[in-house]
Amino acid sequence: MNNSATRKPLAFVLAVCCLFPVAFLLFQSAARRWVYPNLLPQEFNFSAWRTLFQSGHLGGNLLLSLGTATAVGSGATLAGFLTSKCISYHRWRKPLLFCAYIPFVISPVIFGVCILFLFIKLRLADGFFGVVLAQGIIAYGFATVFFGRFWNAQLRATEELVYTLGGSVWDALVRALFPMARGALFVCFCQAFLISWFDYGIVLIIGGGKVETLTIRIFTFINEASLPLAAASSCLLVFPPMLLFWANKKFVLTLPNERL
Amino acid sequence: MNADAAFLEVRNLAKAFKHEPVLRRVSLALQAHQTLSVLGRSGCGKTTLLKIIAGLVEPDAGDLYLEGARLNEIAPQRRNIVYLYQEALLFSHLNVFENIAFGLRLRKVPNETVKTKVGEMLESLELGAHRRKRPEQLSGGQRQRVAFGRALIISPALMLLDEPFSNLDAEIRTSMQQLFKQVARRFSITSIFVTHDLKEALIMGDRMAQMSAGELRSFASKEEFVHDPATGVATELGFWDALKAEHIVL
Repeated sequence: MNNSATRKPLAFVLAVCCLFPVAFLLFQSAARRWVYPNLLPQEFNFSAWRTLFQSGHLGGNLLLSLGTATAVGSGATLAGFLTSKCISYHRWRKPLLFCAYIPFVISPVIFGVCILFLFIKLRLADGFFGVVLAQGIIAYGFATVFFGRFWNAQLRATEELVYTLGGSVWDALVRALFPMARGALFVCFCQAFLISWFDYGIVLIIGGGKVETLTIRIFTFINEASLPLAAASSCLLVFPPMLLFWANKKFVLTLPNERL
Repeated sequence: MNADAAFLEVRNLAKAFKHEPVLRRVSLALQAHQTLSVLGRSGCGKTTLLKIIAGLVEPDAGDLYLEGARLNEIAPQRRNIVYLYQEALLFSHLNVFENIAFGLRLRKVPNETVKTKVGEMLESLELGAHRRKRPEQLSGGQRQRVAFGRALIISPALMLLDEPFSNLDAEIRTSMQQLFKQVARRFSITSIFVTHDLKEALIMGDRMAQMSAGELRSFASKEEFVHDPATGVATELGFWDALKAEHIVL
C-alpha cells in the first residue's frame, strides 16, 4: 500500500480527534435551549462568554492559574534537571530514580490527602504557596524522571571539558549544559506547566477553596449545571496549553532521542 | 632523563576502581615542548592516567608535578591542562568561531582581543571559511581541528590527547597527524598523546611509552622502543618484510 495514500486520511482522523473536543466546547458555550431529544440547540448566543468576562473574577482566576503553573513549571524543571544529573551519576541510580517516580505515579487527590495534615501543621494549607509546593512535588518527580535518560557519557565528557578549559561548575551549567539541553528543558517545562494547569484535586484539597484557579471555577459552573459557562471557561483552560504546544511544536514534534 | 628538569613529573601513581587496580605505580617524566606517545590496548589504564593528570579523577596514591609545582590538590580549572577526547565534543549551540572562543570568553577576555586571536587561530587551522558554521555542518576532521583550536587558544601548559583521531578515516587521520605535528611545533606544545595505533604512536611522539595492565614503561629513545619485542614493532616489520619477500618470489 502506498504510504502517502494512508498517511493523509490518518492525519485527517488525528486532526479531527484533536480538534473535535475544542470545537465542541466552543459550540456548547454558544448553545442555548438544547434539550432532549433535539439533535441541535434551538438557539445560539454568546451570553455565556459575556457573563464570564463581566463577572470580574475570571481575570483573577486566569492569572492565578497562569502564575501557579508558571511557578510549578519553571521550579520543577530546574530542580528536576539538576536532581536527575546527580542521580544519573550516582551509584544508587536505579533506587533513587524509583523514588522520583513515587509522587508522580500517585493520584494527585490521594497525594493531596496524604500531605494535607503536614501542610496544615506547616501553615501551608489554604494558600497559594502550599498549592505551588504540593503541585511542585508531583511535577518535580516527573521532571526528574523526564531527564533521567538525558545524561550520558558524552555530556559528562563535555562538562569535564569545560572544567579543563578553565570553567567552573556554574560555567559548565550556564554556558554548556543549559544551552545544549534547551529543547528538553522547554518540553519539560511545558509538561510540568500542564500538570499544574489542569490540576483540580491538589488545588481543592490543599487550597481548601481559598485558591480559586480556573479549574476550580469550571467545576463550580459544572456543579451549578451552567454548562455554557463551564464550556466557555473550559475553552479558556484549553487555549493557553494549545498556544504553548504551538510555540514549541519544533521540540514537541521531534523524536525523544533527537530532542535530547 | 633528568627528573629534576622535567616539565611534567608523575610519581608512583596508583588507582583502583572497585578494588580492581587500573594503574600500578605509574611514573613518567616529560620535558617541555615534547610529545610523549603512550601506546596501549583498550582498558589498559591510558584514559585513567590522563584523567588523573587533568584533575578529573582522584588518584589513590602518587604525586603529580608540573613545572616543579605539586598538582594533586589543584582543581582541574586551575591546572591549565586541557584534555581532548576521542570525540571533538563541540558545543552544538555555538558556531565554529564561538566554539574556539569558548576558553577566552570564560576568562572574560575583551571582545576585540577575542576577535583577533580567534581569527588567527581559524587561519592557522585552515578553518577561516567555516567560522560561521555550526558543528553539525562540519566533517569529522574539521570538528577535530576546531577542538584543537579551542584548546590551543588558551595556551595550555599541557595538552592531553586521548586517541583524538581514532574516529577518523585513514586519509583524514594522516592529514590530522601532520597538522598536529605542525601545530605542536608552532605553538611549542607539551603533550601526552595516547593511542592504540603503533604507527600513530611512532609518528606523533618525540618520546615513547607503552602501557599494559596498568603499568607504564618509558623508553629512552625511539630506537629502544622499535627494537623492544614487547612493543610489537619488530613483529609488524617482520610481517611487511615477509610480504615484500613473498611479492618478490611471486
